[in-house]
Amino acid sequence: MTPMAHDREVVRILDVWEECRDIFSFKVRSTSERWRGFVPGQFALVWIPKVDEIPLSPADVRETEEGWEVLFTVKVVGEATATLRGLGEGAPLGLKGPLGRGYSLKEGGRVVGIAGGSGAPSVLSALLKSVREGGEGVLLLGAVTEEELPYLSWVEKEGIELLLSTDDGSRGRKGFVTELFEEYLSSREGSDPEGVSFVACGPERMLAALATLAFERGLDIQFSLERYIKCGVGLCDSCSISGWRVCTDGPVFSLEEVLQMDEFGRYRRGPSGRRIPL
Amino acid sequence: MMERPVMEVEVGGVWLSHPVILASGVLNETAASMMRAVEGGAAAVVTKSISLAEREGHPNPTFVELRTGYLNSMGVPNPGIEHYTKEIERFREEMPQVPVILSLYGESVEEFEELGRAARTLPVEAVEVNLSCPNVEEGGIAFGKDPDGVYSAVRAVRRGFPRGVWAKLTAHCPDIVEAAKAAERGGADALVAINTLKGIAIDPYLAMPVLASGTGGYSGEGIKPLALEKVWELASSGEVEAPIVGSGGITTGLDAVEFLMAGAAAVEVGSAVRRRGVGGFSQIREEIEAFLVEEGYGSAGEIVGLALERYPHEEVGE
Repeated sequence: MTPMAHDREVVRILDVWEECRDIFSFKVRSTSERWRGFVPGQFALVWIPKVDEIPLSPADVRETEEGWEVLFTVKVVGEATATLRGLGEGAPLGLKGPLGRGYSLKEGGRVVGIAGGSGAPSVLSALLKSVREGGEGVLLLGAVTEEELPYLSWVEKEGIELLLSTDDGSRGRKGFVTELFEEYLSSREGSDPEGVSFVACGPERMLAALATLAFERGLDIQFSLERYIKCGVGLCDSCSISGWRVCTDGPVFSLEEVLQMDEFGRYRRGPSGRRIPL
Repeated sequence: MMERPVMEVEVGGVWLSHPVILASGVLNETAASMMRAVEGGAAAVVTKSISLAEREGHPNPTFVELRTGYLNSMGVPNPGIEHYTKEIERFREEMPQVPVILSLYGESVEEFEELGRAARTLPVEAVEVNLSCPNVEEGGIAFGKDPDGVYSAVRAVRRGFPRGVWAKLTAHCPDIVEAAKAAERGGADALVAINTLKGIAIDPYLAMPVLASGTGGYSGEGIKPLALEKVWELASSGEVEAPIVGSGGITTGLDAVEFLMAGAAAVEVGSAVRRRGVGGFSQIREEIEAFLVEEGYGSAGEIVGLALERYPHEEVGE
């Protein structure tokens, strides 16, 4: 195990691959025992030397003989993610984590994940854990169009049931993933919700729509939220949403909690802390 | 059964229900977080440092956790005083009784003067002049380094602001007593000592500083003896009259007691939230109170400067 000089471990990229248009996955190996305690939905701060450091929720964490393989999936949206995309096998990165509060999953049950956009990895980590432990995992994944859907080539092989929606109808159900979720619920009407955990991550307006739906139907959904994260340990207040710290109180919040947040689905904060309507 | 000790203190025109205040830079970018700090026990809140114009701060990494504390190089991110006014008003509406101390960050005397004027119309009890942020060269520490800079910045704020003016001093100056006297000449009602100290962390494997901006401000337990000594220096000089607010690594009630005994009338707590959570303010207050009860003191005010009075030590056996 490499000794750590401070709170970040320097890791190397093991493998990188394209998932779909503008979305790629990469794996790193950590020797930090901190990953033993990883809970799906937690995040890491990934430091791209000389460029930036960004919060990413692992899509998977797997123990191997040489350490912990941590899988990330990233959408290219700006300078940091574009630089990350350009890095090859062996490139060094700083890794701090796992951080924050993850999903609370019912053991051995079924996990239903609803994901849109860059929310897919967070949800996938919960599903992979569930199927590996003998439970079930269903991924409801939405995107604008077929070319923007990650994971198509491999998640079903892991034993996850995959249901898709696209805004333009090019793959799966035409429409939003929230509509796909409603359809899924109708298809299972009458079945026992006991033992089912619902987890969701994606654009906040999508999550807000899900929260309304969950509230109306009396479903308990857990939401993973995204905010501007700087310190990552609950001090600097840049990730604050209505007094909750996404980095330490979250990023996963219960339905009851998100319904108390007046900013949920309505406002985000810029890097200066200025409130910006969503 | 002993009576509960009196915890109320008064500092630079601000009445506090007890001596533990939320320090600038932690949980104070938004009204909701400041309210949470008060629910967690803070007697008053100092806001994030606010400038005239919006600042996004430095790129990440901006924070490193060390064995003895923390390094940060946030770079004074804030939405600018105009937008931040809404956060203060939101806070005020919900918590009208809790004192707010608005931290001001300027890069010129003119900016400090304008900030002081802008603060006058805001519902805040006092302002804290940030003379000491080590993360930005243009302002902050540039003023705090020498007495003339301290004087001119404090004076500029004082001209526009009629209520409490607190001056937050840096230990990075040749003589903190001279800096404090300059702040008093400029019109400061209280002195806050100290801000974070300049520090750096280098990643040995990448052979580069961890913080994107290279250096940062060191806070947390590791700086406590140094901060405490600066308070001691100010209080024991006999040349400074304004009340002192101690700050730097205070994590427990006994840490706070040490600062009070060195001469601080109140303390600011920030980084301790990492170890003790948002409820840490209540815990620290309770620990101070428990100490006072246990040792038979009647009030928090009674122990302010006590260690100074007892020094040089009375001879053993006397």
